[in-house]
Amino acid sequence: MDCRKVVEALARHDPAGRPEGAVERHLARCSDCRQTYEELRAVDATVREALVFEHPPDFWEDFYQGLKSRLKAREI
Amino acid sequence: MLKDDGLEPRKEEEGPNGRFAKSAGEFSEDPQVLALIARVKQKDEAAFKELVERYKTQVAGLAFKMVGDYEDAKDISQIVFVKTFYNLKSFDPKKKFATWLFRITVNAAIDYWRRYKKHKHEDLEEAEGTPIGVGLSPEAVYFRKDASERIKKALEVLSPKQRSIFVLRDMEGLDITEVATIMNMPQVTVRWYLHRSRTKIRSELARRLRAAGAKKKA
Repeated sequence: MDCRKVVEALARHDPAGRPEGAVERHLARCSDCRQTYEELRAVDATVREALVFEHPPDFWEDFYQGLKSRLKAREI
Repeated sequence: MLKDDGLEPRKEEEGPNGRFAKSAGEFSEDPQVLALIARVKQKDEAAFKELVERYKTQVAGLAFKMVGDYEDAKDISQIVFVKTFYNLKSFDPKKKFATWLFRITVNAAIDYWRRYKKHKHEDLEEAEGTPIGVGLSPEAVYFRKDASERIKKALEVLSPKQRSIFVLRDMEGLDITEVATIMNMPQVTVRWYLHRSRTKIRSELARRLRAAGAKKKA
């Protein structure tokens, strides 16, 4: 498997899994592709860690107030 | 003409070899949730409050990941629960309630995003007041805020469908079957969208991470 095909396979792979078979064997011997894989893992980790739902302290209070008004007005 | 209220699945064109996912329909819901739903159908407000309490974090969390803004996520969550209150009769108790709720959330977020995106577009830079990382070290807060901003910007390159599928699968961690049910698409189409989304988001993020690295060095 050449580097181009490995990079294409890496772009498709599910972040929850690990590369297998020919891709895994290629990564074991190609430092460039290994570096690409590590970069991708860093990107995937950034995605998982970012956008954590840590809301402002008054979020739910405002939410319930707004919900009550919308239900009253049946605003949809 | 039928009104699109976000409660019904939005028909997706069938993929070349696709079948619409049905397996989530075999799920049997928690009896406590079913009992609550039955009471809400009778317009029992206490039961509705309990139902909201049970699902509000999931709904608001998903909405936040879809639109990247707490105020918008709050609005969308309110819309979702108003729709839930008045339209619960259309929920099939043989199916998973969270899936039905997530479908309404995704549709509401897409509608909201389409309606308000152009007005909200430029304010991503000024999310100073966003309280990301309460209780974390200043470095951790900085890293997370920085990462969140990059993700928000990277997500903007995706279409609403790509974004929904990416958020449901790679950020919320739902399985492909459930994503297919929520999006009313064949699994093969979901996988196709997911591949496109991952490729786009990875290349966009890698570009932004490299640019940030170069800026730091300079």
